[in-house]
Amino acid sequence: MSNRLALMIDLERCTGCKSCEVACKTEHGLGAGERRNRVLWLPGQSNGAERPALDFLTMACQHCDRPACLRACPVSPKAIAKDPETGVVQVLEDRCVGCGECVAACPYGAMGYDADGHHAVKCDLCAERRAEGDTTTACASVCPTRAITFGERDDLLAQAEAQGRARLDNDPWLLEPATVYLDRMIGEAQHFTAEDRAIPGVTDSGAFESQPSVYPFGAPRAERKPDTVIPGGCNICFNACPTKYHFRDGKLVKITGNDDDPLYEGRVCPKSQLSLQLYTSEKRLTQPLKRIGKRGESRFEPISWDQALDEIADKIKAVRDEHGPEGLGIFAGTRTGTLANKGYIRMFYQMFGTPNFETTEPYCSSGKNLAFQMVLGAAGSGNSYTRDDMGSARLYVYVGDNQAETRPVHFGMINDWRLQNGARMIVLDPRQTVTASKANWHLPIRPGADLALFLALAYHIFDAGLHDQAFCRDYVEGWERWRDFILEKGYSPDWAAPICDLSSGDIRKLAEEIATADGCVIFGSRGLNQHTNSVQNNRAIMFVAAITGNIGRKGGAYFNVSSGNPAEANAPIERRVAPRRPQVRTSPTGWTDAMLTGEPYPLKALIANNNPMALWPSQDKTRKAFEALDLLVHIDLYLNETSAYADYVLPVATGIEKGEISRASEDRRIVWIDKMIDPPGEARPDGWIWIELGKRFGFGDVMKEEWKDSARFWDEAMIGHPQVRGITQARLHATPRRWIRFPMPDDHSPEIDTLYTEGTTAPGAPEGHRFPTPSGKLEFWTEAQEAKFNALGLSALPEFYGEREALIDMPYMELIDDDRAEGIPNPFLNGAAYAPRGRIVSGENNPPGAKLREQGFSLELVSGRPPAPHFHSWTHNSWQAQEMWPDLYCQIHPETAGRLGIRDGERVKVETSHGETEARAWVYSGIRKTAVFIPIGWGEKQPYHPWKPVNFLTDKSQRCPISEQTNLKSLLCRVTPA
Amino acid sequence: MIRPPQDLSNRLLFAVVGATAAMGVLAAVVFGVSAADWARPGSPLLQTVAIVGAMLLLGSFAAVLAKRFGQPGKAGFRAHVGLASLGLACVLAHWSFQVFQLPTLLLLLLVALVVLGVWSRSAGAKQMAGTFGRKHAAFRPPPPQTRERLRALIAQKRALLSGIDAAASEATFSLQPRHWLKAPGKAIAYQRLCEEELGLTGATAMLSRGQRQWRLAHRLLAWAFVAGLILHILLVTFFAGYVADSGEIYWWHLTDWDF
Repeated sequence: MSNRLALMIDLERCTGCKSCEVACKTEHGLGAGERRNRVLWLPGQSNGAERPALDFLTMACQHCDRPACLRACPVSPKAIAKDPETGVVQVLEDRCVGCGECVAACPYGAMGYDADGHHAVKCDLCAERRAEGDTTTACASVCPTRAITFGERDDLLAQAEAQGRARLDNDPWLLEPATVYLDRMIGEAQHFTAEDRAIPGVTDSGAFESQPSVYPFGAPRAERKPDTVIPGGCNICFNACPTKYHFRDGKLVKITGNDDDPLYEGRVCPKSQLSLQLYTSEKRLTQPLKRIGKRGESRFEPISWDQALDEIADKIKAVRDEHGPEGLGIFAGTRTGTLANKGYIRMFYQMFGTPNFETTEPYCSSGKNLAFQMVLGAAGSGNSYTRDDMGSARLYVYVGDNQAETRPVHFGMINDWRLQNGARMIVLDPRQTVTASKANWHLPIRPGADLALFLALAYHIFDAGLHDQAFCRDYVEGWERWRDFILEKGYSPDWAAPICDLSSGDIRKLAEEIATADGCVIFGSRGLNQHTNSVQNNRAIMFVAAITGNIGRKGGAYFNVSSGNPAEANAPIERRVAPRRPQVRTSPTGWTDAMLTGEPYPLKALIANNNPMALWPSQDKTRKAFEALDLLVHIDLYLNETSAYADYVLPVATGIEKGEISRASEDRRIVWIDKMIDPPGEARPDGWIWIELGKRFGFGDVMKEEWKDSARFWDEAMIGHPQVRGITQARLHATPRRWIRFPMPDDHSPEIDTLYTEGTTAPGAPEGHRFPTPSGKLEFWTEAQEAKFNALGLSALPEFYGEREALIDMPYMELIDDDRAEGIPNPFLNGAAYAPRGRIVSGENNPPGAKLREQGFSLELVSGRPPAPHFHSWTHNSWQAQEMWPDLYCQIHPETAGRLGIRDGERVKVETSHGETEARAWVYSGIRKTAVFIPIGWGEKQPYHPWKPVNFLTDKSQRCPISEQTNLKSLLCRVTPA
Repeated sequence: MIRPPQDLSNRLLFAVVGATAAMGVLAAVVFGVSAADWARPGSPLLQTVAIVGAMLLLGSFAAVLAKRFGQPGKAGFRAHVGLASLGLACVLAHWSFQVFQLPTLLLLLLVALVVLGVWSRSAGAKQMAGTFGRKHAAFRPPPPQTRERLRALIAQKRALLSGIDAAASEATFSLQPRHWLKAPGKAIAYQRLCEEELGLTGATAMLSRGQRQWRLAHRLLAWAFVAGLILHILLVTFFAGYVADSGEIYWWHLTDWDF
């Protein structure tokens, strides 16, 4: 058979993101429980250090030459056919009687079954799609990592041989399968084997839940065949992927990656594709609601928009009259979108006069934003995900960043470049994340010890004379002072080793690898940000990047997720009302005392634009605080925990229903997404809501009616900043990829892939300033910085402190001012917010951690992002995301689980001194024996698999005094069978 | 925007089976409590109902076999469900709530058949869907002797096949009724090899007992029911004396033999 078709699946590239599963279901109209492919997560159950703890196996029909399914079919003529030309094995669904003999007979478990339609289903390598002229399968077209390729089998085998890749033996039963699996390639001992591998109970409970599958699932193919395709983007995560929206008779039928984008080539993760389910979900809010029961009961009556907005405005005015404009808090963020956060809402609060507006930044990235501003003069990296830039690095170091699951497409690009170029990847993380599972070297660092590691890396680099002396001399301000400081403090690898729970030899080796690589990209993320030393963590690792010459060059960078785009809208100066007092706290978590006690001043009304009841730390206190509010307005897509406490719930549009840009992408790309579809029912875009509310406060002349058209609002209000002035609707729509990289001062400027390279002037900086800092250099220490740090009880020279809840006693941060105290105006925010002063407390003399350990809290709790199909709470309303990752889980090491009598998949109770929740155990040898991991995003009011969120376990008082980021990564807990 | 059913939906299946069974039970109760002669199981009315029921059930049996003879399987399945449900109703009516009679066992067989059939199409179907991607042992190399046995087994199948269907390829072949008629001995031997191969691959090892055995159980129950039905017809038609057990023979019969 010369033209035998096949898939080639590369285990070295597959990250288990399940994008292929979504693409397959979308392409073939499959519903819940109905599969043609599935990504198996196969963690090791043994503690063998020589093997990776995590592997993925993408399962689909193997298109055998001796197909067991076909031979088992009792129907005559058979309901399964094998194409003699291509070898494709196909179910003839109209002939299949659904007896299931083929399902039982396939030893791969690759036969699916439609339990509603009662017939077998299976991969036919997208026969209908190929017949329509497509050259590849749906799964291969979207794969973020290029782990799946499709073609003639002989060609695929030739490719594998040319790359010197070993193949996995997938023919134990002499069925002669066509599918080609490429084995892992990081050492003989780490070759894939099914021995000791098992599917985690949390992903494979065997439960098949028949959820209502909504359009286009189950619809005939003819009804789903697109007649119009519009390019756009995804506004869910910071990967900001270019996408295509496919329509049939004006109805959105499919979302895919944008294969016209030469950089992204159609790569896209599951979330973008699942956006369609956010629209079609039966759980969507479609009309304004007013509470008629007690707070928390979720009893509402539908009301009109006019009634809702009139009553809300009246109540806000009452709060303003009694407590002043600062009595209103507005919380926005992830779901809300950039145009609302930095446009409509911004104009509203500027004219209303409240300082209490905040986004999710203090939970995500405010620490890194401040660090970047201090060191670099800009809020993010100047590099880009291009082959010449990031693709040219020789070393990738991830610290507390699980990019493979949080930005799967960018990780796929990095991993692809790594494999093509023979570059190395090193991951520092308390658990073997998906990212770590691909790394050449994984260092399971103790949670909360990152700052010690960074200081020790710098110590060794300086001590061994490995720093880039010319770069330091010419482009770094204050580096000698810092060098002297860490040498004097003795922050050596030997000092750091017990803190980090790594060997000093490994720390030295890591430092040498970073210093000697010809281009090292260091990735940080929430693992660094969500700590009480958030700013110093980020500054210290930036310093390491800087002294090794890895800032301001191609293939050398420090990245920390978002690039902080400068687009924003402002009310005219004469219409702005200067706040009478600073913001209560920059972290909304710090607002709850103001709600409860009225100190430092009363905060009595809150408009929540996403879900603080899952998101804010110290949930017990959050709920009490919300009960004390005079007014709680909740603007969201679905009813959730926050809605249950709200006086009014306003139904809002998703990003694709209103016209929006992407989130602040990692590498300065602004992706425009047209309004693709109308919101369901009476749901309205955020902009519409804020303009209408603004009218009730007399802001209608500024927040113009015509700005309900978000495209017009963008051009007329959002791009005043010089760096985005050229990113007009016309220019965005002139490119089929729908994105432009800033800075873009005018319509004709070229895009710059790499900023701050030698010999250039930073955008907006005085001529000759390579970096946009006051000095034009990277700034480690200046007198001005030192004064600001001193005001908050710190020094501009990062001094080591960790977290107060740890398994060893180390210096920790103690806030002098609690949230009822004013503290001081935050010097890093020009006094716009009160900040708590802090002090570093030595870890000696029976510190809080030691007391907790005595009470049995002897495990390190780490929280973080769940696998790729989920993003915060909203994807939990997508039946398919829930089907893929249903339950809240708690990763725990097998030895620890065994000691505690916990088995995989069982329900466990997790307690900290701040609260408790439950989850299902995921016994996983890839996590530190002393740590457990629980993901964010689950909530008690979710429709499919409700669980109490992890923020019942967290503590709002453990915050960075500068950025107010809360420690969400190192808390002491205990776990018991539930 | 609920997904449209692609086949006889579970809801419709439950409705059809439930409604006809309810009708049958109701009729059985009505006839059972009635003292009228026409309400007795062997009355001309209920004997006619029984004959109709038996024909419906045999029709249901034939409908499900249609798929093996080139007839549309889905239509056959719908006919199978519809005819069997109506047949059940007729049998229930004929039964007339005569609980402590031997033919009640026949009714129980029929009820078990229907229950198993409904289970396979509803809960069993969901279990079937849930097996996808749960047999990753396929990537765990078997012992060398297993592979050797498989190799030999395939060679044996190929050798046998030349005497069953010379034009067929072992890679895609499975036995059809005509093969059983043409070369029953070789067909039996071939079938045994197929079953051994399935066992060696372990393909069914992770399935629940219900998934593994429902189809065999359904067939055995069906054959047992057919056999019981024939026996029942023979007894009431030719051995009416034995059936009446010294009582009144009030039903149509040919002979009143006893033994």
